[in-house]
Amino acid sequence: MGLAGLAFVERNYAQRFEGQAPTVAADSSTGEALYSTKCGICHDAGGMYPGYEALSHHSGQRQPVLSRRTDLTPDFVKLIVRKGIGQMPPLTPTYVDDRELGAITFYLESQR
Amino acid sequence: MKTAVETFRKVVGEDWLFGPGHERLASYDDAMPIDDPGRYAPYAAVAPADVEQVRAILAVANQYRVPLWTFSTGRNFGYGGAAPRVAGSVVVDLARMNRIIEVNEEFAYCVVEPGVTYFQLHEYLQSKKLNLWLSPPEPGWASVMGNALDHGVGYTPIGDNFGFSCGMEVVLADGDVVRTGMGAMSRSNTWQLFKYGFGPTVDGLFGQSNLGIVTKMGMWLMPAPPAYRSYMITFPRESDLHQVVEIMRPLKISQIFQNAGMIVPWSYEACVTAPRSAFWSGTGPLPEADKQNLIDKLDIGYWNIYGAQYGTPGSIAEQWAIIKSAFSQVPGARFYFAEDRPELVGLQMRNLLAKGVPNMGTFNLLNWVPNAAHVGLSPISPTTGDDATRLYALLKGEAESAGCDYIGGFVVGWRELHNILMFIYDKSDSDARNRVRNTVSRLISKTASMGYGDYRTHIAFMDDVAQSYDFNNHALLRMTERIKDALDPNGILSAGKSGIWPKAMRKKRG
Repeated sequence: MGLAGLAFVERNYAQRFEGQAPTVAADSSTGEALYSTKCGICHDAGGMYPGYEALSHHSGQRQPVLSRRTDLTPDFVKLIVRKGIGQMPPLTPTYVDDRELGAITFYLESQR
Repeated sequence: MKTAVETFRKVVGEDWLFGPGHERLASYDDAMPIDDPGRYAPYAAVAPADVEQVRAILAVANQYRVPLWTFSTGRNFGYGGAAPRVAGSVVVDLARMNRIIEVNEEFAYCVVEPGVTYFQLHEYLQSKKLNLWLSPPEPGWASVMGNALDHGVGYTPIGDNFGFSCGMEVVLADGDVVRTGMGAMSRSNTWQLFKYGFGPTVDGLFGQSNLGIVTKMGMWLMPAPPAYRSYMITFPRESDLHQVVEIMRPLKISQIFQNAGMIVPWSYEACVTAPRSAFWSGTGPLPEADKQNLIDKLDIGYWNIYGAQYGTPGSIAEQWAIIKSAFSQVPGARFYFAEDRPELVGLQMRNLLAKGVPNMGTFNLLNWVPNAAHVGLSPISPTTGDDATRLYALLKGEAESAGCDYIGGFVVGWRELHNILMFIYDKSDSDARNRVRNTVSRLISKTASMGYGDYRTHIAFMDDVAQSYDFNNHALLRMTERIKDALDPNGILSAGKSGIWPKAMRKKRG
């Protein structure tokens, strides 16, 4: 991503974090809600999201927004979450337990 | 040890004990190693749900002399994360204890357990429509209590996170439960209102220490101000630093400069914006000409202040006139509000932090190089131009000699500067790790010889930093270890934390 292409999606960020409770918070056990709180903090779209930026810059991903990818299998997601990759640290089971991780992978798979 | 681990399993249940060889155990190692990976690997991990389980774990550890290492959420990356100082310890992950016990809007405080993160607390305040702001550090997934206990910094006027704590509940190594300050009185209703209680104020004993396990902590919040805005001031020359700091000092002490703002070089804004490769494809630190190209492309300064204002529209306008007049003394200074520069990730990240909105933007700095880790050095100095330029010259020179760009800056505290230097390196490159490790170790000694002590460090350097506090033959450490021996005679709690060792393990020092 060249400097000329840098774009900061402020409106998206503001809606996420300011003045509004997250729209998916009503049922925090759903995969989508869990993805939002556990993964989206780094992997939503825009310059403020380091996971999105990492996938854009270092991995050459054509689709750096995880929830829009069509190639993420549950086993792969679980592997990355538990082992980490690149600058993403491994996530402890108290951050996201196996049940929650299963719901997240189910959600991501439903987006494929 | 095996018997102890099986007993831990009975305490917390099968799901929350991760024994040797368990595939989840790897997540408790240092994710940003400065030594060889696995140097600080734990033997097992146990995650209690409440104070009673913590006490049961301590009883087992005392019985079997099991070394424990405790943390709130274990995401103190760059300082060791969840990894223990003593490899082979059983780490105690307190993240399951994540209740927000109370939020009091009238008196603007909260009481939290170790696992409560800034994101969680912010979401709570938003969902309840409470007119309160918290003071997050850069990564929003950090523990509110953990950051404060490690003397971390938020970026609002109440950004001295430990300083704005009030009242703790602590479980001592023998399982005794103590509440500090007014909490020591069972019917008190001022536990989170008055810090000192009666007699010695002991809260500080449990920050950056291994003298007890904090299980509840009060934090003061701030009412949302009627008006707020954040700003950036840029300065064109490297040599401007001295004058900028001299101007800053009286403004900060008089609280015209209201928050824990920052003075950062070009590299800070650059590294949260794009990878190095977007600016330069060579190896080693960016050459000066490429630095200037980057500065021109991003349209920032060599030095940049991030600050924020809180008050009424009238008070903000009056204070801004003073701030602008003061910093206009530096030729070429330019002034922006956050809304003027939506494309600057660093500014926008600071804008959110300064109004109590947690985010993860700072992790963009790990995109600077592939496979990045970081370790920090943070000597404390007075807020003077002489001290800032002296330290900057030293730290920049050493960082570049180690093959790293100078990425850091100054956090402006109440009377002090936190001179932050972040080494960002490829964690898979053992030569890079060794260079950085040797440089940090040398700098701890060098800056201490100049009178500048570090306020926080990675587990690999805790003994080095502790030894640098050498007044009267390390009297502070000697006193702390006498307290340690009294409170934790079996030496089970977080041996080596901040260089504090139990009697039986003092030979491990260093």
